[in-house]
Amino acid sequence: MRAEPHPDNLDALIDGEGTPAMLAAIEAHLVGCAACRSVVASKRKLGAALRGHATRHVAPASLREKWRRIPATAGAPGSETSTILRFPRPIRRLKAAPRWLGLAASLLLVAAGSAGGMHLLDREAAGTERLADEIVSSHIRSLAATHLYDVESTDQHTVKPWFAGKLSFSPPVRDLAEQGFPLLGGRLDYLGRQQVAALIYRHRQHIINLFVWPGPDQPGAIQAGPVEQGYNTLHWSQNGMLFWAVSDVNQGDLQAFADHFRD
Amino acid sequence: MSEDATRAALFERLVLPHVDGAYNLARWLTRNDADAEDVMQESMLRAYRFVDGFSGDNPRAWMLSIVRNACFTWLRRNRPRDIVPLGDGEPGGETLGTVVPLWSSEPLPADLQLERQADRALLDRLLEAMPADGREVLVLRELEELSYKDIALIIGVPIGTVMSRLARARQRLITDWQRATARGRPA
Repeated sequence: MRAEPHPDNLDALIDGEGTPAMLAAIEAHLVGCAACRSVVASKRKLGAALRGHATRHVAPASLREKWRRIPATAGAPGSETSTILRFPRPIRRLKAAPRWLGLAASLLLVAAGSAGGMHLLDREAAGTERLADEIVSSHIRSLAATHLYDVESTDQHTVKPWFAGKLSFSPPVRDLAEQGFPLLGGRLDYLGRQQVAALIYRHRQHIINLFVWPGPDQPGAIQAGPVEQGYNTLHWSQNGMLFWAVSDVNQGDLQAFADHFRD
Repeated sequence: MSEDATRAALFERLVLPHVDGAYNLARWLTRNDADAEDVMQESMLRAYRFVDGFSGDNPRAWMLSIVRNACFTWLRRNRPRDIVPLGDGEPGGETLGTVVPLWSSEPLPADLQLERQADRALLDRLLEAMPADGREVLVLRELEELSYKDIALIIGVPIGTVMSRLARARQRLITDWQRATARGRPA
């Protein structure tokens, strides 16, 4: 008995896909098979109906406008600020990323090699503000329903291994439920192009994002970062990692969170 | 040109032309405007971030893959029950001879009566009710008119899977159509 073509191949015929040999075999089969001819006819009709009558949703003007370029003056000397004004606030902040990225990159270089020196500290100070900016934006984005967790678990032994295959570093993960800061989960995030781990904690009704990535140890206490749009930030370094906590909890609670985490 | 301006130019050239197709996919997968816009916001951000690393020759497929991944991530998180798969079937498990009984012996009526507004709405509704993976291939193939190769690239499966998924999705939609219209009409 001649092998019959697989029924899925009928769709290849309908879509004009598949090798000529395959299509020829189907055509040959159709000649003697009314059932398959009827399937092909129905599916073609369905295709025409979908193409002709199903709704093709069009992006709302607001979305388009929000992302519309950035006027033609982009790149002209001194026009950088104006080129980014059309972006909604979080995007505008993102646009700022590449500038401090170079900075972050050089800081990472310091961490990697032993080169570098004091002059970088000044640049770091200048970069702190931008970094805080980016971190707060990321925090706000994460609060939108679409992107709080990649892994949702209150178990540090679930969250920590989850990062293992996804990052080139292993962020410390601690559940602080007993201290009033239960772990909710983890997320991969980016600050500029640096991939970072984000740990999500809750304190009463507030969400705390703790961003972690490798960086040079800076001896010293937990430092208060800038307050951005009503969000408090704190940062510290520990065991070759940089930590930035951001939340709308008050500064005292955020400090308590950081203290517990560092313990 | 500054790095910002370069990125903005790339974004304009590679991403913005595909906003409608991207939105159409997001809207069909999330099934409502507000969620589609959330997913799009996320996707555009991602595209903006990574556009300078894009090196392929198919920015449309690249953008659509970002969107579909964002959609499925969103669905897994917010509507896990929406991702019941259509089932790709066993490759080679059926032949034309054995599949025929699955079909109602009636082909679709010649007219499909889509001139009626109500029937157009029904078509939309049935497509919306399809399992997400079937809906996805139908939207990409019939509405975005993409090739199997591009669809395979976007959803990250072999071309053979695209074909079998499309076959099942169409079959399912035809059956649903027949059921819905049979119910709605006096015997």
